[in-house]
Amino acid sequence: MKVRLVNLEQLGAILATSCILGLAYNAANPIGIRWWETDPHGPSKRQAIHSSDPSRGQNKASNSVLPLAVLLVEKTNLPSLGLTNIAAAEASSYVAPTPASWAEIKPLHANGQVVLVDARPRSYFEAGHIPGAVSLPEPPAADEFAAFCKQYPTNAHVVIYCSSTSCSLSFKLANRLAKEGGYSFVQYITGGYLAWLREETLANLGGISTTGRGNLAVSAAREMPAQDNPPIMPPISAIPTGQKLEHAMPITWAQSRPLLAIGQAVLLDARSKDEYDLGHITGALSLPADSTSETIRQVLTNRNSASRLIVYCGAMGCPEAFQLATRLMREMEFPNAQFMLEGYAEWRRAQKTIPPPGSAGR
Amino acid sequence: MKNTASEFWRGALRYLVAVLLIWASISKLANPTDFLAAIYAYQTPFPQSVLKWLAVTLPWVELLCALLLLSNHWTGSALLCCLILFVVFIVATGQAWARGLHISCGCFDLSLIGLGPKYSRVQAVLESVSFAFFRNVFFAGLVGWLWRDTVKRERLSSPSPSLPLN
Repeated sequence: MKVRLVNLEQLGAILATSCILGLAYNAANPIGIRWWETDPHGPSKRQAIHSSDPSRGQNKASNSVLPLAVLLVEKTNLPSLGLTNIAAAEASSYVAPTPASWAEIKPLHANGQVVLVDARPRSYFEAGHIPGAVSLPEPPAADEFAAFCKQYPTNAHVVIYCSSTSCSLSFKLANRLAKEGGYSFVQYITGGYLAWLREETLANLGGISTTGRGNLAVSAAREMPAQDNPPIMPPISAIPTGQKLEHAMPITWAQSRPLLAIGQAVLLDARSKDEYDLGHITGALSLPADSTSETIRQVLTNRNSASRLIVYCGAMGCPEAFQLATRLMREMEFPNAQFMLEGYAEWRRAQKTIPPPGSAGR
Repeated sequence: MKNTASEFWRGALRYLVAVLLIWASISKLANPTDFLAAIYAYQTPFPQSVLKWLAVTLPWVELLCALLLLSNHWTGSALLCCLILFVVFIVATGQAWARGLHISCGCFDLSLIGLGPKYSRVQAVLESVSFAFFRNVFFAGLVGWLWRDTVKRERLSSPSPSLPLN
């Protein structure tokens, strides 16, 4: 008998069996993946699906065999899966949350048609959030979750957001609300808080007249090649005088570079010291986000409140830069602290495509 | 004596891979939508229908491979299938790591081994794509070695038509 290196028949049999089992299990699973419902279609289509489904909200568990997932949960009582025996019984009414963009949610939010929920940790919410949002950090405390469910009816349109595209808290909380809370219309904002910041706050700032410091920055930014300024951003995100901001504002590397080149800004690395040592933007000072006030004062010796501070961390959506910049702004009296939107990753990308102009670049 | 010992270790390593795959598959099967969210978080260019199909079938591929490894049936094919899986995981986690995505790898439910929210720092490390990348490289190497060894042993144990039968 000849032994083959690759037995295609056996491999094919494994894959085919997996497909059949997977499809069958998913079809029988009330908390399975819904091929037709999880597509990113608009809310109107979703509402149409709901209104045409007479069984929605009714408990069909008694008519169907509970699948492996529910049995597993009952046997092992997996806490992080967010399912309890009650949820298992109600699982048949579960409707999977769908993604939505801020542009889709904006008009609904303006008309008060949605319950906007911030899934980030409470400190992030306190540092800044979309106006009108309520805080329900994922994973929520039992009493907070119960209070939320008591306050908002299960037919409410709940929209959840977290930091950015790379965070998963909003989806986790959305799933939890749909499964455990019984909410039938839950969505999550794909771009998160940063999408709102980009689309709302920065757009508004673009129309505000800049200060003298801002004008300097604008003229410096004009020296940059046009492709360095992404079209989604205004020419410069200068902070207007006299306007007290709730949280630090974002800035891109393309916008930061001219300011750093002419020595008009101080670059701070909010990542850990180890990450800083592995690689950082040239000229950046290490100031981990969890530094004490004393350390911050030491690092920022000789800097006054007029100094422009640009804080960065690893990549888009990393929280450290936003946290530290907001803290510098609110607690340490540096009103011109900003955070770099895509941080070190954006700088690394820029280094690959643009030759470094003198001092600003490693 | 030496052969018995190496036989024991081969079996132990095969069971280790099988247990890991069972853990991974149960984590995914118990909460398919969370697994789908984890796949979405990788921000790959594939259409959603392909990713959904992956979320539905992948846990079963893992489970079937694990059962075949435990029962020592179709071992070579099961190991090759595992090797392909681990290579796919290496590519997925590697690209996410290279792009600086701060996401959970979506590999295991850590609460199954008692790592709840209390151990958030440990969880963050174990679920990070960078850790997952190195873990996948290790297991790809292990499975690759087991597969090569299994095929070699099957070839040696099978009667060769060129030799005269006793």
